[in-house]
Amino acid sequence: MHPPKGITEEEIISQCKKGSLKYQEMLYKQFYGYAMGISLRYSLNRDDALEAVNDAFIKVFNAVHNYNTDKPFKAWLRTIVVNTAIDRRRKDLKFQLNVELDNAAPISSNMGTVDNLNAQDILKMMNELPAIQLTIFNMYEIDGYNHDEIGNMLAIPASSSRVYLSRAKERLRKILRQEAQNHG
Amino acid sequence: MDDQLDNDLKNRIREVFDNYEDTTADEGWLLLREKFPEEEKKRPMVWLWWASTAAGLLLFLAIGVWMLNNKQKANSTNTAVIKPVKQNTRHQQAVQIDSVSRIAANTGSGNSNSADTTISAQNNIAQNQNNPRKKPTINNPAVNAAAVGQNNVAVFTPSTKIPVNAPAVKQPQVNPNNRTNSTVNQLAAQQPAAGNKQPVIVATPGTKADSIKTVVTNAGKQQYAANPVVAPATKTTTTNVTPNAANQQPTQAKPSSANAMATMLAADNLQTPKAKDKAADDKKVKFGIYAATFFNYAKGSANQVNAGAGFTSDIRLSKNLKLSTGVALAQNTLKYNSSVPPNPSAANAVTFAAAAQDNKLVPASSFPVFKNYNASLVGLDVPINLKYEFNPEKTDAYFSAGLSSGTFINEAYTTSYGIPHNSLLGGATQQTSEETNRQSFNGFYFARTLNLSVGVGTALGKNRLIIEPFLKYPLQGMGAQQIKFGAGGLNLKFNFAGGKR
Repeated sequence: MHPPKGITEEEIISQCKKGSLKYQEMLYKQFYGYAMGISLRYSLNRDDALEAVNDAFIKVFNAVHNYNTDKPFKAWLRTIVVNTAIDRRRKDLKFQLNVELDNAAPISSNMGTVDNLNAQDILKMMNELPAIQLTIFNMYEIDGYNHDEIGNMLAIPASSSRVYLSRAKERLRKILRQEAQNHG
Repeated sequence: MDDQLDNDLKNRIREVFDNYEDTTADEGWLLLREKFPEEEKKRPMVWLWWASTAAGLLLFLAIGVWMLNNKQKANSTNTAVIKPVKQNTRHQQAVQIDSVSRIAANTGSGNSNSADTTISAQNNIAQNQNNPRKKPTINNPAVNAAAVGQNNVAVFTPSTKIPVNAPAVKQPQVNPNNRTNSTVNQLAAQQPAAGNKQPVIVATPGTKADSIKTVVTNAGKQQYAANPVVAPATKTTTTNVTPNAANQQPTQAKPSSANAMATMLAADNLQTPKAKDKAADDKKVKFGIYAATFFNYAKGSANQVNAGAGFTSDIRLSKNLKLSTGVALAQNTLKYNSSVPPNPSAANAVTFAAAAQDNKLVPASSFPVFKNYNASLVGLDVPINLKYEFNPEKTDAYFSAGLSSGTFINEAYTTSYGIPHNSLLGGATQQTSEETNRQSFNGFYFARTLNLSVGVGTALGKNRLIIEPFLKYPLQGMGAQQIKFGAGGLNLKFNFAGGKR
């Protein structure tokens, strides 16, 4: 969603800092899709994702006066959404820390299926992953965190993060192969 | 090959979700508004609180002013009762002087003739017209009293043989309350014999002008009859005479009422400074300043010693009851070592504070371990108390109860927590992090604290020094985090221009 004609992103944020509800709504609707795209990857379902997005926007509105306009708003919003979504799955993540790592068998890939994946396919595939693997995969591969940062945020060693990431990727490859076989 | 697949998958996911479009933004916004419209709800409430407080203060102020006016009216009514008495007395004295001057005119008519002046409202005048040297006799005690009361009425007697310090005035009915009769008599007796030229002025306040005139006329007639040689007075000196006032006087002489009037005069003179003192005592509004040392208490918090200061005003409602209000500035601190304050707002402060940090969240998801929570609030307190003084005439001891309203100038909530670094392989470290959430004038809380206090005072010059132990019991949560906390301690008050006890 694009802002109304003649209104810039800076102006919207400036008005949000003044507490204007109208501009807060404008900001919300402009970045709603972007936030949902992030939240969906971390959440169990759409409802959870929406709640995480709304919680994240409330934090944004309450803290927007601290936002440094020199930095991209999307990056700031992404950070908030990721953390909020992770907070909501904290129990799942904690539980998954105690789950033994399974041994995924190496599989051959089917390159042809990746380009055809849409959002629903990707989410369905990712939901096959344990929460900890899904989170680390998203954080590292999609949202750009390194293993040290992930380790700090999830209170696990960086080496564990590497292991979980490896497992996640292996499982995804396996799923992709199975999907390719099913359709092939 | 696996890397290629991973890269392709990663790129595909980024491509899909970075440009993710969702058409449910409107529904999402409506859901968000269910949680987020707090500000809109709060604003009218804040204005309502302000309006209520302002209305309450105005009401109390109006009551105070109204009662002050009533008191002033009452005072003026009381003085109005006294003033006519003074005026009447003056009138009477003037009339008496006038009358006496007429008498004196008869008696002081010449050098060769001594005048015997006899005045009596009760016709007990001893006339001695044949003895010019004989001292006139005054049998009316009211004369003495009036002379004392007025202090400007001299009794001059032309007597030449008057025993020094011996009262020549016969007082058959001396009012025991009239303590100055003897003095007057002495004064009268000590008057030097000024010779025949000395004018005679005799004041008889207790007698009515008309009756005096009558008496004087009769006396004069008698005098003229007895001493036809004597001509009417030609030289008469009178002072402070207002003849017109005589016309307003009653027509009958009442020595008893004159005596009472003289007593009132004397009492009035004696009571004048007391009335001033009483006026100082009866000030409707008294102001004071105070310093407070107290400890804050709250469930789960360690007691923290703090201080404050303010000014107070006491508006007298009745003899024993006062309305006490004012403004105080006080620091309040709370420290929770093992738990957060028992309310959702404060418990959520950790997460909220994290969101406010410079463009990125503190890793709230990294299972932080709570260490402690500190709240520091600098508040403006507006108490409205009813103060009952046990015996306001003798002591400052009182009991006070009421409610406090106010706001916080500055609020700082600091959460300290450790971020554990738990390795699956063993070993644990902890990094301490603090998050502070600051707010100012977040809102106005109305009647959130119950105030109870007792006080005793002592004189400090004209002012009063009062020691007041107090307790503030929280009725509701206060501040941005709605923490329910109270305070107990000691106020040291300095009340200006307190009345003498």
